[in-house]
Amino acid sequence: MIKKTKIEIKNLNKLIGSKQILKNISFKLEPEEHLVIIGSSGAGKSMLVKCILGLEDISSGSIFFNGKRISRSVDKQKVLNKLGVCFQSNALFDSYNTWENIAFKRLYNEISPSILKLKKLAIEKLEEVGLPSNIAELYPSELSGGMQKRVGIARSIFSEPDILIFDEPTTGLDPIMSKKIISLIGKIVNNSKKTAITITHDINLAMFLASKIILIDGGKVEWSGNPKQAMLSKNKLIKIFLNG
Amino acid sequence: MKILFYVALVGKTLLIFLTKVGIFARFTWKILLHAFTGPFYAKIFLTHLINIGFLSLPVIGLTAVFTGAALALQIYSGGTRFNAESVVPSIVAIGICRELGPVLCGLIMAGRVASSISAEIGTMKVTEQIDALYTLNTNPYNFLIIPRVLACLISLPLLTLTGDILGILGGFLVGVSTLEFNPANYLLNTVKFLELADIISGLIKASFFGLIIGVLGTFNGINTSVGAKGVGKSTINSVVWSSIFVLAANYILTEALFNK
Repeated sequence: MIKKTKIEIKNLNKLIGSKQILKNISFKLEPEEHLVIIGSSGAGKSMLVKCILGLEDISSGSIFFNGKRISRSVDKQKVLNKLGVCFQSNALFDSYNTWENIAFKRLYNEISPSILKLKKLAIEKLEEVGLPSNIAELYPSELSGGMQKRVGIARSIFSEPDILIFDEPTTGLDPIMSKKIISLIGKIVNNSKKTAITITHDINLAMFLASKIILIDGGKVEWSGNPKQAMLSKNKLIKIFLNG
Repeated sequence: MKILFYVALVGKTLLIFLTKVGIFARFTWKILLHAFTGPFYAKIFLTHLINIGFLSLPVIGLTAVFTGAALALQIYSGGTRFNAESVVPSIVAIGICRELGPVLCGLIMAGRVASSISAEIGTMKVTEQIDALYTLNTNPYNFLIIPRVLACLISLPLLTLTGDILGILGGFLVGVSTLEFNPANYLLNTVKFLELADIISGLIKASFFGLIIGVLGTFNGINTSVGAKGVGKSTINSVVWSSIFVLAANYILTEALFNK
């Protein structure tokens, strides 16, 4: 059976006022691929993901999920149901405790959710991301930065999505915790054989996780290839990223 | 050239104003649309009904008692000038039910509730929690906005009714203890001249004020710009605009309900 391309972006442009944020972005993401989008701050990486998620309207171009073009808000919602997103700021809900945050999607979208069952599943996910079950009743403000990040990851994988998206997963973490989070993401994506997109400015993270890398600069795709090609690339920006 | 500058300035201001009106119209349209299409989060709505309605009872109650008491003193002091002290009970009751009850309740709730709604939703906006809601298949209009607006819409008339009763009680206490009114006569005069229409008109006003506070609080919250400064600005805007709109709506509704 031929597997359909998971995500395809064709000539995507995004303008805010007269300023062009994204210029003619095109790429494909095949099943089980892990795409890492790298670029410096303000390059347009997060905006690209927001466009893919439908949180920002695109000015022109097309986005395809599983071969189907996304246009209406109904389509966007269907797509969002298949995605698991871990935000840069974690975006955990302050007024809900850890397990409620993790199980949020099912807790508030099922007609009569089984609280005990969802709590048990949430605790399983907590353990999967390396956190003890006794933090399930704690609120996000009572957790450390690294713990919050893991809870964010647990929430993104809770409903077994088709595609995982990690926005700057190591931002604000110390180098030791960053390494742990990178290997956790690698383990989750590889074990579940999921398609994933990670956004980062950290080239080490990109080289470790990616099966495909896209370098964005000034809102346009400056370079794309796999980690091996990146090592051999003569592109100036890639070299700067690699050599620091 | 100076004229052109001023024309451009007026044009630019008008454009900004019309853009804001457009954004607000789209926001209210979305509230209506999502209110009828669901889902409705009953548990969230009840939580807000308690936070907005029940927890506002102490401040509304105290304000109403003291306002009723002060009103009784003022009317008595003014009434003695033309031997009309006996009107104190009826004027206190009519004044509180028609005007002071709903307006004071509206202004207090604009300060207490519109600000907290705006700050809460604004903080969620700047910390990507609203984006997270979308990705978790939860529409922020259904989850955050409609329960709050509905809670304001229902709470305000109930709080106003409580305020009316406590305001009349405040007037009664001062009337009986300080102004030496006969308690039975005071109550009789209160009931004698107070019509059901006086109470209902106040509650109609309060419903509109509730809608204004809920819609403006959530609107400013969801349109918060980046950072803590943005949250502060949207909180101020929600209180200022809610208060202005409550007072303006009070005049329009008074004109519509009483100017026959």
